[in-house]
Amino acid sequence: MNLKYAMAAILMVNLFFITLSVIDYMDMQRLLRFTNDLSSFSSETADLESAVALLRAEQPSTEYCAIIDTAYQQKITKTNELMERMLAYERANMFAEFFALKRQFLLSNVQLWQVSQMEKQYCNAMHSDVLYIYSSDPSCNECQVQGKILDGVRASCPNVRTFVMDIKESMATLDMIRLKYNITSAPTLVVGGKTYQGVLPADGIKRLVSCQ
Amino acid sequence: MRELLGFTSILGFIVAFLVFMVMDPAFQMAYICIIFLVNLFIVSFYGLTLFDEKKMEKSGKCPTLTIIVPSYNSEKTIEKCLRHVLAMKYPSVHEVVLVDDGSTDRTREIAAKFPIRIMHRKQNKGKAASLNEAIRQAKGELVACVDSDTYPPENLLMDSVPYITPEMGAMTFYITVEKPRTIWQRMQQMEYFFSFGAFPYLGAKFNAVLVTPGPLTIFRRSALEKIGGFDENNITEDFEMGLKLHKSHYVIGYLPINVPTEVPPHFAALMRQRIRWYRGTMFNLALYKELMFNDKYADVGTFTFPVTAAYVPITIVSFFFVLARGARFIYESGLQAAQFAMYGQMPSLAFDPLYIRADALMFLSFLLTYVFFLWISLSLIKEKMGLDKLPGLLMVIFIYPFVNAGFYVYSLYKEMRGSDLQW
Repeated sequence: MNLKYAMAAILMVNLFFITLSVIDYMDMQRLLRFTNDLSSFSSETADLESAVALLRAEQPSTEYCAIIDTAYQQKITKTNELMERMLAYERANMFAEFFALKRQFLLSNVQLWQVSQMEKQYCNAMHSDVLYIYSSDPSCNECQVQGKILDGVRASCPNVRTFVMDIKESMATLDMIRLKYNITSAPTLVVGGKTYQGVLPADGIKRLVSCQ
Repeated sequence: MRELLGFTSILGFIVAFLVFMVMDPAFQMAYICIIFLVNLFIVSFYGLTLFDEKKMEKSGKCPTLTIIVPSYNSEKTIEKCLRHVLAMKYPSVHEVVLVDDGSTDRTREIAAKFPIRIMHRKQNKGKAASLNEAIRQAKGELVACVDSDTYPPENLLMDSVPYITPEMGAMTFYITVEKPRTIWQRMQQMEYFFSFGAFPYLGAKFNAVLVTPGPLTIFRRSALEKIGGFDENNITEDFEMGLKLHKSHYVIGYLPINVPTEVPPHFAALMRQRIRWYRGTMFNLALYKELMFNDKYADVGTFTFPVTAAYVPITIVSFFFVLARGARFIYESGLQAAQFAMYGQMPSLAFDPLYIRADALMFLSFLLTYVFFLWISLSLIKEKMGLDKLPGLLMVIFIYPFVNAGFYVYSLYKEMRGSDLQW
């Protein structure tokens, strides 16, 4: 009689592990997909960084600036998509940690922002950079609203470039930026060197970046 | 004292809700895993018996039989019921007795048209009392108790009586829902497939059918006499009877013969019925607690009884778990919607299969096992899973667990308060 119970327990454990391995498989798929996207994103960032470094060494010319600008137009839309996916995946993942990937993504994002600012400095470009400081805490509803507002702004204003940064993540670059712009809470926007705390409605952002 | 207990239970409910409200996601996951494991064990245990070869012994004897139809104000169904009862074929002597439990409608008038014996009782004393009185006067070796809203098929006795062995105290059947019309009846139809189909069918293989369903059960009269008949003060006399038979070491048989019965058509009636069932369940579980983990009663003591007992607290606690998570979800999405509305921005709806979370996957795998058991249940009576059953299936998956758990919570509260038990 006890054999029956032992068999049922063994079957139970097996079924449980089958379910867990499906969960684990999903986790790994998320990780894999995000790693792929992120590595191309990072290499594109590095590419732009070295391009701008070249630009600084040479005499800035319109041809060089045009090359960088085209590269930007192709890459920049990826930021928000990756960001959204990262947040959803991070919430869905049970076993695999997104920690390292998240740091890499955030760092690339800030690098991209710096490159964009430099390009503006050397090329007299017409674009405006918006750095959006968010919190990955799911209870930050304003953050999600601000993210969607930025989506809308970018769709209607081709000259706007948005970048993201986490409020909590601790890295030397991020810490320095936080200190420099006096960032204490999320959501916060940094536009043209000025800090704006709280949710900014679409009209407000459009006025800041001079887009009608 | 009773008020205090009732108040304490409400306090307990609130605490359970608040605890789940602020619980850490990791603990929430742990809770889900525990429930999931318990369910997997039950499912595995039943699943393993699928491969048990247990041949039904056929004695081939057809002893004398008395059919008892207890009725109370059942003018709507009694005619159809009696027509079905009288149409049943049986080679030996059998009699049909209708107990009119002090009906105030046309029940007796309608029944008088049929060639049956009618026992009239002036006062309404309940189903158990009616049955007991009829059993005392019954002449048959076997007693079939048929509810006045149940329509047994023609071949029921021919197909089942030969299988009733001497050690068997009762033979139970596959109760189904007669022509479901309302959405609640459709839901119950699917529920009955589960609870009277695969589970008792597999349970009978290791003698672990706990209930002798009220709508139709054939008893051995000597067994009923030995254990003293039905408990007249019990509101779920069918569950009590099953436990009592097990306690006296009788076997309860099961045959997958389709017996349609009427079920409550509306939510209010369903709730009344379920509160009665679940209060009876709690009451009788406490009454027969000596069966718990008792080797003397074989698998009933070590599996079916503890599982039935564990189901009650698990359902009640899970109710608050789901309630708390639902409340959190509504609160958060409401807050978000308010924020979006404030800034005139619409949230986007993105779908990515990789967004599916771990708890959803567990629910899915749990669902799959139940679909498997549903398939067994349907194939037992050769039912087809048609589109007409889809609303009921959706209800039984998404609405029923929560509503049912709510009934359990309310029953617990009433049981603690000690409100009057009633039919």
